[in-house]
Amino acid sequence: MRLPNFEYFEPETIQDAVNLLSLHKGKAKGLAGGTDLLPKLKRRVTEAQTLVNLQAIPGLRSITEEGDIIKIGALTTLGEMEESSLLKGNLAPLSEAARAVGSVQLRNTATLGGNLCQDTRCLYYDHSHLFGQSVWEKCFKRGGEVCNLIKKSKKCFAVYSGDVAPVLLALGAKVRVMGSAGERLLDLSQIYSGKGEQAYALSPEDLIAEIHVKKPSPSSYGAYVKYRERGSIDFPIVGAAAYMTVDKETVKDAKIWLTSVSSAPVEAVKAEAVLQGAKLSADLIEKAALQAHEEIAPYPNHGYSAWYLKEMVKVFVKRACTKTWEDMKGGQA
Amino acid sequence: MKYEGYSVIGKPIPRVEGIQKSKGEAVYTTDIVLPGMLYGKILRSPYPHAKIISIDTSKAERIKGVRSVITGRDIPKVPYSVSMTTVPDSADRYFLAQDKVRFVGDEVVAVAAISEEIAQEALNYIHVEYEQLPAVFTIAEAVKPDAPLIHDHIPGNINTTILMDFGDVDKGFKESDYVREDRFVTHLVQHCFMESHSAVANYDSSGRVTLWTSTQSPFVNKQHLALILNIPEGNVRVIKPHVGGGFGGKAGLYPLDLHCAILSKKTGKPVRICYTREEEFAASSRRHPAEINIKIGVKKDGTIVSRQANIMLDGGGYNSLGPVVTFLAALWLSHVYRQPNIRFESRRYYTNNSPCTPMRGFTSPQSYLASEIQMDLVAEELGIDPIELRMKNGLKAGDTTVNGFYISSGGLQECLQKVGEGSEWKKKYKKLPPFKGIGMSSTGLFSGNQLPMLGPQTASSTIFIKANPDGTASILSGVTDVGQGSDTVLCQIAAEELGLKVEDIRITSVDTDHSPPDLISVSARCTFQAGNAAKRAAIDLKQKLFNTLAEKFEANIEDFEARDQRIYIKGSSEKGVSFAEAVALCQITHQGMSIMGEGTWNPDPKQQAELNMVTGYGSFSPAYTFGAVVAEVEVDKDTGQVKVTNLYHSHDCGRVINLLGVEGQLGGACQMGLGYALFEDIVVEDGKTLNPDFLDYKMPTAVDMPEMSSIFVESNDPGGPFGAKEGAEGLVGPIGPAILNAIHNATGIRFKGLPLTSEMILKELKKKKGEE
Repeated sequence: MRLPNFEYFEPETIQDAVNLLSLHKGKAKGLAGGTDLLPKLKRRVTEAQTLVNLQAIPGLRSITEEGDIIKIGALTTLGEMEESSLLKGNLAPLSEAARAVGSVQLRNTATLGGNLCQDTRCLYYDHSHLFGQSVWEKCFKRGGEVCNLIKKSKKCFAVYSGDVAPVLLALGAKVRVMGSAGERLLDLSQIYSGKGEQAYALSPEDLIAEIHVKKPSPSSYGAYVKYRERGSIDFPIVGAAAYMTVDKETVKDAKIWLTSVSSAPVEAVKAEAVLQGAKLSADLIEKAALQAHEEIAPYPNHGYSAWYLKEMVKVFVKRACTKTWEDMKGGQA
Repeated sequence: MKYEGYSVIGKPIPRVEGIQKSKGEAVYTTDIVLPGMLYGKILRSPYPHAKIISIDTSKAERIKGVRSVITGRDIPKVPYSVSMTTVPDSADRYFLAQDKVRFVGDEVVAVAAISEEIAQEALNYIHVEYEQLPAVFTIAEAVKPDAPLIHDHIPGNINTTILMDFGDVDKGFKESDYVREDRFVTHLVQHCFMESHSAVANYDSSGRVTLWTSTQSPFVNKQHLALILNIPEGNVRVIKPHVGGGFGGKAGLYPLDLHCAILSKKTGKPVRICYTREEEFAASSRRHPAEINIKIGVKKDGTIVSRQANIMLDGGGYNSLGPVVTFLAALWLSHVYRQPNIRFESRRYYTNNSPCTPMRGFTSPQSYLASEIQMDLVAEELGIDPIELRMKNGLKAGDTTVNGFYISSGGLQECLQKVGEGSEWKKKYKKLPPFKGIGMSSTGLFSGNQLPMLGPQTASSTIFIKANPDGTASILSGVTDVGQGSDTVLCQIAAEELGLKVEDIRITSVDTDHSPPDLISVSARCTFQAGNAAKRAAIDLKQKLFNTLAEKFEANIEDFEARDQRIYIKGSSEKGVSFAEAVALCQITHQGMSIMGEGTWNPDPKQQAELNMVTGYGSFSPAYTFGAVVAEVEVDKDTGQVKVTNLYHSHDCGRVINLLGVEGQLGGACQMGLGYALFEDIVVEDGKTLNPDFLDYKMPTAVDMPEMSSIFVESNDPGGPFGAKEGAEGLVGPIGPAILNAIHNATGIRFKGLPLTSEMILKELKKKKGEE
């Protein structure tokens, strides 16, 4: 299917872009890499009378180092993140998470800003109106009152599936957001609403300009592990990011974030608490993984049961922590 | 390999159309744009089973740019099935619904407009009032006494029944030392050809309709479209542009072919319709899900005495090629092994799912999954090595099976032996570390069929080869290359016989007005049947050239040979004449008339028992192939995920004609078999498809492919061109059972069905751990 007709703008400043989005409030969408938005427009799953192409705005496509902050422009492609010399060492999990997205072709086009703000997914939602109407009941995500996945549910169970967000969240990243009220620096976690039908706590005219990552201390290590069916293309069934700062074998700080389990990335706070202040060991990691299994209730939106997805939370939290520990040992050796 | 004496046979020859395809120059149906052409879209049923109360198209008709809107009233009242001429009462489908719809996606209204966007938009303005009917989605639901009837005149929703009974099965079981019965189920997958169904029709004022269509069967389509439109066959011309894959899902007419023709007739303009990928997945063609109950009786030493099976196929809402699919599902179980007593029942049922069609291997992947996992169970129970067990029972050249298959060449044993050696089976079987496993499966297929699909007056294959005075030759053929590489094979065969290079041979795509007829591109028939016709045409052409030369050089025609683009007198030191000079000389001798060689192939009733479609006795095919696969897997004990690390496959294709082609086909078969076993699954809820795209329908990608080793077995079939037989289709069947057998070897857990998900494996692993 082809794209529907739309009005098209190519602003040269981010302020102009914000103004255009504000002017066409609710009917315009920002276009970055287009890998999420354009197929949805083709399938008539989403509508946009106006597209505001952000690609002509200078200065949003670079990875730079300013003091102890790494700044990644929102239009930086995931492919560029994979290659960046600044995302190595104990920031390597960021480039690994970027590499885990989709396929080479997608990563050469998809941007970090778009990846962080990708639409939530649901097996029942992302289909065209092939038959003149959707064959499914109008669900929360389509502005209706039902959920097709959990039939009697009062809420939407669409899943956030970005690969890069959990790593950035584990690193405590901040986002510089431009909106009609000017510029704001938010914690990345603040942009996610947790609602499947409207996943972002941002206004339609808000644009992410930049992502700020504070460089982790030399004793801090991390990992991102992704469970998927195929070696390429797939969104995660479960994705787990871990970061740990360890001093003399004692965990000083631990962060564990999961993706694809809920409508927003989820922090396994109780599992983190298990690690915090304890002596790092295989047993400790096992305990933390069991705790994550306990506290996380994944949405069964991948064709798998909640039981299985919960098991996978345990397995992949364990694998993320184990990989972190191994890299730490390798790094210190 | 034994290539001595051949100049092009057996060599790795790149596709004759390969460069144009790679560079995007090859023209497919979707590339065709004609002056004034309109674009069509189809409104489909959102319900699995419903009566149509009314259709209001008035608003859609008033949209600017809409040229025609047609419903069931506008099409001829001639029902369709791909078997409509051979099994007339199988015809059950109108390409626009008449009174009711039978699956989600059933065609209800077709629109033609000046652009695809307008046609699409117009669908939103059509109002169809339905009265929903109770629907059935499984065979179990379809056979209930109070189940709704999907076709009012078909009791019990049974679409086709096949019974085959040879020998004395019950006596055989009594005489067996060991008898076991197992139940297997398979799931829903799709062909996933790169090019979706597409058609362009131009119904001009002379009363003739020209149809460009992405099909495996131009001549069948011509016949069937003429029947439906009630016009002389000669008034239908089918042109086949390049086709991006078929795999059985493009055999016969599809609804869009008729929609384009009718819309073109109404508007006086050419009309094009292309299915979207979503339409392909949700409402086009699929492989039959099957339920197979199978029973085997063997002697202590593993010799098979008796085999019985009850096969049930979920056919969906309509017939398609139902009778043949049902027949073959049973027929597969009579191949590969010596089985003195067999009784197979096979039934295809109507349900409110999207209709199923043949898909690569016809129904053999389903049948072999059941048969070959059961063989593994027997081997385990009797303590016989799985390869040994199959070796003992395998058919050999010269055998005639109890139902009349004559095995003209090959045999299972050499395939088993070679794949056993290649995979180092003896070193690995039951000797690998935990969660690593090895498993195997046999397979077999046919090489063409003996069915007179176009009627007794038309041979299976006819080919003409025209010699050109510039030293080239042109093949006129109706053989439908849908991407399998038959055009290249035919060029090689002609080049070999004529002593020319492959580059000297031209081949044009099928145009039913000008090409000699060829049945259809299914059942692995092109190389064997059309290849023979091409060989005979080339010999005929060569004889004509030799005749002229014999007069000129005062020699016997037996003294000439064609090689290196020249024609020589054997044993003479003379250089002979070039092929170009020979053609010119021949034309001058015959008042300038072009020279044409003619060749044909048809089943020879004297050689083989004619196939009886009622009893199932007779040789379905002129030749049979064999193969074996060994799979190695690793199972992740934490997630249940299976990684196939190696696939070793041996295949008896008689003789390799194109090494590159056969390797590509075997690799493709491995990919398709792997997808069937571990990745692909159309998820359906209440008849509605949940994953109609390549993101959520998980076809394996390049990085998911295991290491593959192809081992060729060349049995040199006496009836095949240069000894060649099937080399493309059969290997899909054994991949699934080999992988499932390997998973058993790795984990001790026996799975008897598909789909097989990581979750199912993990659950069983946990259960087993709990029991220990």
